[in-house]
Amino acid sequence: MHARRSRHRVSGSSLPGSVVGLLLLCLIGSSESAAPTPPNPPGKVPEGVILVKGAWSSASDSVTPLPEGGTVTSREYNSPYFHLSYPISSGWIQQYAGPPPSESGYYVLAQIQPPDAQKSASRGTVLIAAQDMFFTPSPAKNALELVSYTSSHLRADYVVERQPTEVRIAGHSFVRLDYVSPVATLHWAVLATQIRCHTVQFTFTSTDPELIEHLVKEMSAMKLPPEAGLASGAGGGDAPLCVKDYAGGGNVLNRVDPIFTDRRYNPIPVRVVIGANGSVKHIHFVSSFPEQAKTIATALRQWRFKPYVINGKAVEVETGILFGTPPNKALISGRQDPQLVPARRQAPTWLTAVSLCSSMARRMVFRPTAKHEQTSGPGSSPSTTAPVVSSAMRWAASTFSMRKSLERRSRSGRSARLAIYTQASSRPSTIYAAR
Amino acid sequence: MAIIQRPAAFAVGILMISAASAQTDPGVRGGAINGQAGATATNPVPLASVTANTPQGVLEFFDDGLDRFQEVDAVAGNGLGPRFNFNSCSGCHSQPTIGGSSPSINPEARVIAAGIVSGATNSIPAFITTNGPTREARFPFFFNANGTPNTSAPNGGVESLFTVSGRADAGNCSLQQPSFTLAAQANNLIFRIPTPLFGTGLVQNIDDSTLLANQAAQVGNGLGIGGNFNRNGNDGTIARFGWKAQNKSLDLFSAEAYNVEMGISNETFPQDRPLPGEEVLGGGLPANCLNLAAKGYPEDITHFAATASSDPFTQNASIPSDVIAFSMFMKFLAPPVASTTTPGGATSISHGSALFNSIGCSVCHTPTIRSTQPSNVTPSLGNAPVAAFSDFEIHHMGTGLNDNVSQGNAGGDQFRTAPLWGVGQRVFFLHDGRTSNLLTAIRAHASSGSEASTVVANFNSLSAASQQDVLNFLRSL
Repeated sequence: MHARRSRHRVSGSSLPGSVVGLLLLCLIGSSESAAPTPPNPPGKVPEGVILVKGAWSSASDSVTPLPEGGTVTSREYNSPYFHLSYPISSGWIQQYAGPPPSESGYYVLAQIQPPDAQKSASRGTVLIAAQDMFFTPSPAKNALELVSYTSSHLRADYVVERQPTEVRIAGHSFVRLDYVSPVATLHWAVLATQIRCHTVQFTFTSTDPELIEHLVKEMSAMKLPPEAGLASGAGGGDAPLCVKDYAGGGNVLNRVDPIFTDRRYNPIPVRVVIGANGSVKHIHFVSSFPEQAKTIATALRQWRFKPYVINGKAVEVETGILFGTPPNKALISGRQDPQLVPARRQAPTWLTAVSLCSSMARRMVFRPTAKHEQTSGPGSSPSTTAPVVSSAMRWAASTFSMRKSLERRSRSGRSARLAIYTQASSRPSTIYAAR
Repeated sequence: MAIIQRPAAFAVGILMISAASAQTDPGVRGGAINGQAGATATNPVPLASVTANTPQGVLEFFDDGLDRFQEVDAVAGNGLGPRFNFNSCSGCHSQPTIGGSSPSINPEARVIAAGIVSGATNSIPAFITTNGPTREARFPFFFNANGTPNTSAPNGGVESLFTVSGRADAGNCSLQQPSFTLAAQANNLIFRIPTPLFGTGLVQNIDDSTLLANQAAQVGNGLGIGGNFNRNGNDGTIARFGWKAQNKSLDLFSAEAYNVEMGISNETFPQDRPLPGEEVLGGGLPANCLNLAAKGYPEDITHFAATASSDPFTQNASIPSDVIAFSMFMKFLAPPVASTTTPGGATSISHGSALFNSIGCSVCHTPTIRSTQPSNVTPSLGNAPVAAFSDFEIHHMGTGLNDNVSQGNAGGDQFRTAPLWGVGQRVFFLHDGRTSNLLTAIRAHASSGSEASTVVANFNSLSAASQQDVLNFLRSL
């Protein structure tokens, strides 16, 4: 599981919120200046190590378990985050660790296969994956719906052998989908359950259906948390409750928007654990660049939430926030809204983010949509900890600036369209070469 | 003696049977170049509407672009260098015809023999060989003063192979080549080969929404595949050209290549380009290596007056800069046409195509994107399917292919899904041209951190005959 755990974490979960926040800032700040893995042997760039990373996963501390933080031994896959252990079939191994989590919250947790799969008589693979249901691009709300969605969207290359069906494994509800590629004579069995608002999915692939059945039977020795089920997996017990979209509306008492100064166009899914006192206790950056994580952490440590109350008692809660610009509308689940108009930017983002269609730009600026107004801050909750610029102030400033700008351009005979293009093109490119 | 020889002969026989039944890359497909009637090694075929000269005059822009794409540049007159990789576009983009990828015989290995560079001031780097791919080189990290790589200081820019120093038309410009030997010893050296350019006008004309819809259709693929787009830093739209999809448009791609690969400044990259170390640490190029063409900057510009009638093309086509002419040429190049029968026969190819889809290759190597947006340039570019076998996303390819070079939002291990149209007639594969064997290239997709490992496992689970069908299918493209 090389490189699956953040190198920049701290034990701070039991510290007061402000201290934790400060540590968060310092630690994530250090992630930028910290040197990548030193060469080994000295004087050489190490082989087989990804030192220059794109968007990657990281976290605010090294103690809180993460979905991607499971381990694979010769006997089992174990995930402290999911409270799950899966016995690995005798002799099978993980030859290759999976990629980092995707920007839509998809995790490859483990890939198990026989040793020397090219020569093995029993060819097959076990793929253990998870989809964070806060960020799934599909319309599915739980494991059952996600597997049903997969089934209904299978391509013509496959034939369904078993429609999504509820089965019991190790005392828990799973949904099972079987399909086959007739041309490749490859069979797939997908078994999924939901844990902590993730669909945890076991996919068995082989040309040998009996092998698949054998592997499925071995799942009975799995250990799962009590919450695991088709739709029931919403945390609780030793884990925080997971609640979709909790970081929105009236639940947010104080909010400071992160201001991205460099990279701005990648979705940044973030899971946060909110303490019983309403402050952010833990941040998991599912996929972000280091400087984005730093910026988000700086903002999030100033957020305050309504405590989540059950039976009169405030409890920890886990939710998802999507920062950055989502690539499509399907990804807006749990999104943090204001990326079209981040606070305290000297140049309104629409100048760079919006197309050259000046009429659209004008509409956005002069007539803020309900979404904009909703997203520009907790107007009902005054800031207590940070110099938050209110939504009204931001809109007033950007609108005034825009009007003045258009007036100037109009007087000088230049069109708004041209002016916008000039502004958008003024940022330096980081491109190195054509190939 | 006979007793000893008999088992040996038996063993050889077994090996031969085994080798005959094992799957092998059929090699570069013969027959029509790019599968197109009329194409020759020096005359690629343009899009149908360009051939039909619709709109009027467009064909001459293509022909003019093709002509300039083959132009051999010198320092005097053109502005070659002072640092460069080769002296013409077509020298490296020539397999199987002009506009393609690396040829089987590497012209970079002959630059001294051909008098392109001075052997007194240049040497051929060890990784440039006669039968190897044309390459550009990069150092993923800057070096410390003591010669060790500084892994805290990512570099990643192109280290030009050659200098003009010692050429008769280079004055007293004196530059040294980068320390490729030192970089190789420090494992701080990676390569890129030319991307083929056929059909790129269609790729450029795909609306972002079409690519996003294709991405959304892959949700729940069950193969461990994620993927995202490399986005233009200026406006957030999808970039799609280059090994890491770092370039937004063919104009940009063309301008950058002219500057980086050939050292010719232009209206998009208006200065002569130093090495990354010269720029960041050394104050740029020395004064005696600037303006060697003695005509000022940029060296490639729009020609405000049309050229004389001696020009073989119309006056209109002579006006744009070389960069725009290159871009026109690329934009109008027709995509390769797949063979339905070669290699292996129609049944094998058809079966291989179905297998390619079934085992999951097509999740990333999307066979066809439908379709391009309407074109205001020439009809063939509009409302057309793009059978590129790519989703134009960047994917994590793991430690095996990682090159520790970041471009735009792509990290060291992230690469654009390489379009496979035309792969049947390519000689070298993967971003650095490390192999000429398709089977090796397929298996190189699996390593720790790669999104493709499960798909490669599926490929490995196929019988040898089925794997052969996949290889035949790929070589039919």
